[in-house]
Amino acid sequence: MTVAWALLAATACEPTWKAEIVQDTTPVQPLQFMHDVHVSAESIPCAYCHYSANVSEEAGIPPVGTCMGCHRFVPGTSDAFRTEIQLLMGFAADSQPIPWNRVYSVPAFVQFTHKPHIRAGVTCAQCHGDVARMVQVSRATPLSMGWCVDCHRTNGAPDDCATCHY
Amino acid sequence: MERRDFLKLIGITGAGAATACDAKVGPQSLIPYMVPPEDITPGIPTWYASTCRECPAGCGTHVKTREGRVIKLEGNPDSPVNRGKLCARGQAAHQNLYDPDRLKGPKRLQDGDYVDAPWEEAAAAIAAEIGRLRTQSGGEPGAVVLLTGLQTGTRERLYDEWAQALGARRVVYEPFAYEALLEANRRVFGEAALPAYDIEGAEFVISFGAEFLETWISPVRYAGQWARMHAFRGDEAVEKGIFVAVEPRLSMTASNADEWVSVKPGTEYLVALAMANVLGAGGEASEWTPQRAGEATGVDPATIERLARLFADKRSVALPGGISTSHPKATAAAVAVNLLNRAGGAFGDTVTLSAPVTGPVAGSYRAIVDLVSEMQTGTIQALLIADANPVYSLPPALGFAEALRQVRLRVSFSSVFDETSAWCHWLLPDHTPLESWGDWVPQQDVIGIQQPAMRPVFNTRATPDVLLDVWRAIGGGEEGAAAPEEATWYDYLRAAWSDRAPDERAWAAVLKAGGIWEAAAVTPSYLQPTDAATAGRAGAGAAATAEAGGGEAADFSPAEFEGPSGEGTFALVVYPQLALYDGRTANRPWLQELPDPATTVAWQTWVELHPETADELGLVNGDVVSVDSGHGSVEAPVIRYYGARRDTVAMPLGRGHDRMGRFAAGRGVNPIALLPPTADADSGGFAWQGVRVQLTKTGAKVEPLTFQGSDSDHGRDLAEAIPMAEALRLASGGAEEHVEEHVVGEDIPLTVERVARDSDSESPYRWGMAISVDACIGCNACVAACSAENNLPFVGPERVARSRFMNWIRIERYFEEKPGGGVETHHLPMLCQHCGAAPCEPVCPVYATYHNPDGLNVQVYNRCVGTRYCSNNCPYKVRYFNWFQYEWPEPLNWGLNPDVTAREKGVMEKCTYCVQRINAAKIVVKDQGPDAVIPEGMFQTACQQTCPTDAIVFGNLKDPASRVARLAGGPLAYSALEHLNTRPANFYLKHVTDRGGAPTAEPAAQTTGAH
Repeated sequence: MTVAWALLAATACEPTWKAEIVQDTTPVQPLQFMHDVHVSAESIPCAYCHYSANVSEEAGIPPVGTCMGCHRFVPGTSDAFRTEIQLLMGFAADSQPIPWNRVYSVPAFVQFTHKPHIRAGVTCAQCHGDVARMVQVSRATPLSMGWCVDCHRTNGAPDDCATCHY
Repeated sequence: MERRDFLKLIGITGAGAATACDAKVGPQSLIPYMVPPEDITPGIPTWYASTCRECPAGCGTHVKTREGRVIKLEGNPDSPVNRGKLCARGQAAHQNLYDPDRLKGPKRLQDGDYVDAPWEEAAAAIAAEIGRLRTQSGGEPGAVVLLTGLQTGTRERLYDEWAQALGARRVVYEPFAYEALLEANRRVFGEAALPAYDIEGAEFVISFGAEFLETWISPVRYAGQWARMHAFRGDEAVEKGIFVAVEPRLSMTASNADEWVSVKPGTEYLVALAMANVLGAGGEASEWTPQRAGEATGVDPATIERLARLFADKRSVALPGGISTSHPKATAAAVAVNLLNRAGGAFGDTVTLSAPVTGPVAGSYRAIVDLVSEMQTGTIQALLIADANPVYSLPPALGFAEALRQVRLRVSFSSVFDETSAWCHWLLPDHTPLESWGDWVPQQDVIGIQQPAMRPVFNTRATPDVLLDVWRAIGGGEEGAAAPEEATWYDYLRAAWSDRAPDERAWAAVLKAGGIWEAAAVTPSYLQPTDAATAGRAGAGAAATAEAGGGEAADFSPAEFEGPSGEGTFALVVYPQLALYDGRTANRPWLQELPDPATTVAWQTWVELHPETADELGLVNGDVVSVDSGHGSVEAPVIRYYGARRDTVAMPLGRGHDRMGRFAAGRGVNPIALLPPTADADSGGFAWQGVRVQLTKTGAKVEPLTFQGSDSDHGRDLAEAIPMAEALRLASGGAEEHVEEHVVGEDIPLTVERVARDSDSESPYRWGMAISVDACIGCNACVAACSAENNLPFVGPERVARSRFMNWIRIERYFEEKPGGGVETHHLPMLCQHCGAAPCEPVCPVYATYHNPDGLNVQVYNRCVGTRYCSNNCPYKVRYFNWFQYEWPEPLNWGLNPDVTAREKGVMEKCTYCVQRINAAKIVVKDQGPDAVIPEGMFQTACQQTCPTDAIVFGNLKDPASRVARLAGGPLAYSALEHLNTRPANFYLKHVTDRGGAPTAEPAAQTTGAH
């Protein structure tokens, strides 16, 4: 559940525990990870990195170790790529996690869980857009309640308020 | 992966979040793990088995963590101590971990101020100082004292070894140490140990001031045993046991008794003695005929005779030695109860020493008295204090604080800045138990393990590690052993466990189980009758001729209470308050706001007066009186309470801190200030009782912070009662005699089948509860559990005064006059009833509250606009409005449950039946197919999970085989305010009274004390 992450992060320095909705639909990331190259050219399945989406609330953000599994041997094919991969190497060398910026978030009063959506056969792209074509990930869907409920109704999923609000 | 490696990793992510305030990392950051721990999936809780250390009972716990943070504690079902249950203190334990006023690192006193001092410097400086002091005092042993609270297991061993090696002395101080009980057991049974009391196996339980459902020795264990002995739910036609309480004040424990025998303080044991006499005990007991005991105690001699007969006829147990009998004759009191146990054949049967409780054994007031005189004479050069707050919990008249000033080196290991730390040169905060390694031995054949559930929140260090550093720095001398090889406290602990867990696999198994439960593997030894029991059961009088253990006689004259006498003076009864124990938990806001089970007061210290006494003195609730004992005086508001005797006043312990933090300091008063430093001469135990006080009206008035306005349900019959004989008849299939008188406007009687239809026909669920008023003891554990699970805020005293508290579940406590005299106390858990025809729903203008397909009454926070119409229309008053944005001072907010919204100002909230747990279970169960249905017992609500007496049963009313449906369809079920036709999903099971006990000795009293 994305809210849990938002909540934990928010508690770190805000006096309140409210998670604001991300306004910026294409936030600048600390290093330019290219979803298009990884997903489309290299055909890496989403769940290879987002490892807990099918079992948990959280999709799972890959640790630097996952990146280094390949990039220990993949230095990059262009200068631009090599610059970013050098940044990655820096995080790995310093044992620092990469402070990604959130693209998708729901308000604190929404309890979203990945697992049942994936079990029901919802593809990642249905909510997250065609990441395979995104250089920088940008929010592709409105994440409004109406948008959620439309899909739930079309697919016979529960539209009871207490499915998400409690 | 190694556990410790994992903790390091957690620390890294934790640190990432903790330092997340720079420009790069903000609330919208996503911080991944550096290396994902193998046993952790983000979003899925990780549980650690550990041991609760909020009191010496040592209940097993399962600690729930999310993303490296503790968010909830639950009991470990495998622990034979608590069988999966926890009390309110255990449920609030992580408010100790996240206490915003904890010491954040080691400090040293310099020029009147505390300054930060690194750990290495601290250990080296203390080692040097101790070395110097030892040289100065000529190496005389005893110049250095390690004063600790009660410890068992490996920590105890390390402390002892440390003291021995460094020529130091160890003094153990535990405020509630049961010395009199130990001494009495030595005298009568020949062993200074706390026996196992088989309450569960008894048919008749009589307690002489033992608060065994609240604080006495191991309350969660005894509450469970008591419920299995006493609670009648109507699902089986087996007569349940009888419980009688003999004590000077109607404690929560006594309020659950079938009969409260109210006695003059300091004389309760004469009842036990006279009972033993009736049973032919002979010896000293023969002097105390029921007649004579009756005169001394104020109890009807016929009652004593009747209770004695009950004791002989049934399988019985008598419980001695709570705090309310800890007066100057405490040992005699416990001896008297032991004599009764022996005369009645209970010893060797329901009272056995084969698996003694090791919890609160050790620790002595006498030792601390000696220590004070040594400190005064300057013999003590260095005092290191761990897990104890003697400046708060000892009577000021003893002069501990003043004596402490004579000690040249004073070191505190307390994790909070308490009254004792304030006198110390060094503050070396220990981890809280949830961050610590350790073990605990609650009884001889059970060892609980304590493992850290998360990285330390602050820069704290395990006290054993500091002591090991000091030990290493001093080194072994000619007389002392060298420091152990193990580098750290963890290594030391691990080495101590090497025979029980020789390899890592075995160690992992111990950590997973939470300890070693040898008692659980076999039939508990205390359930196996011994030869002595057989002999005792042969004839009531036979056992009385058995040889006494230690032999010394006891002086059975009534305890004298010192202090002022005459008009306007009263015997003072002080008692440990259930939430605050000896005051150590006072800085936990949930516990400060937990209503007292007897008076429903929170956040303040009160003086309990019988309503008639209060009338005579012209006092109403909130009138501040000065209580003066001659040793000290305190001022506190009066609370009129039927359960106080007319010749006594009672005050709870636990509040009145000067320090400790924002929630504890300055709240209420500490009645210990009234007590003389008197000890029970026979055992050396502190006399908590034994002083008379003068009451003076000050004229001041404060708002009484009570949760309940009235002691009576004003004839609404919210808590229905039924005599045992009738309950048995109904449970055996007898027909109900009375006709439905309440059904209005609808012909269908309110049955479980009818209520089960209050959900969509396609839904397989209609969630509901069966709550046994007979089992509920009013302990408020459910309230604390609900607070932790559902992010319930604490509102503070000012808002409690305006009834703006937010407890989704509350225990209503009603007094009702018994037909034959005396008063019955009913404890009734009140929470959202999830009505089929809910009055709150149609009045909501924005559809924020509605009935969902599973039959839940749902509150949608983001839809709510705060009209409060729903609350006004709710006949059960179980909806709570957020009048303010309630704060969670950092890091208390770390304990918030991420699966539940933290509500904002302006919205209504109420019990959800833990809908987050329902939804989580649905998500898991549907792995088996889209139509899979949650099976019975797959999850529990938080209140149900922790209820020590299993009073709350939650489940699916649509499943006729479920326990809840069977109980709700059983003969004892009724609905609260049934005549309103709200069709509640909560069924209550009637209170079963009149169990062969007769009217109490206390004549019929005023039942409405509050107004």
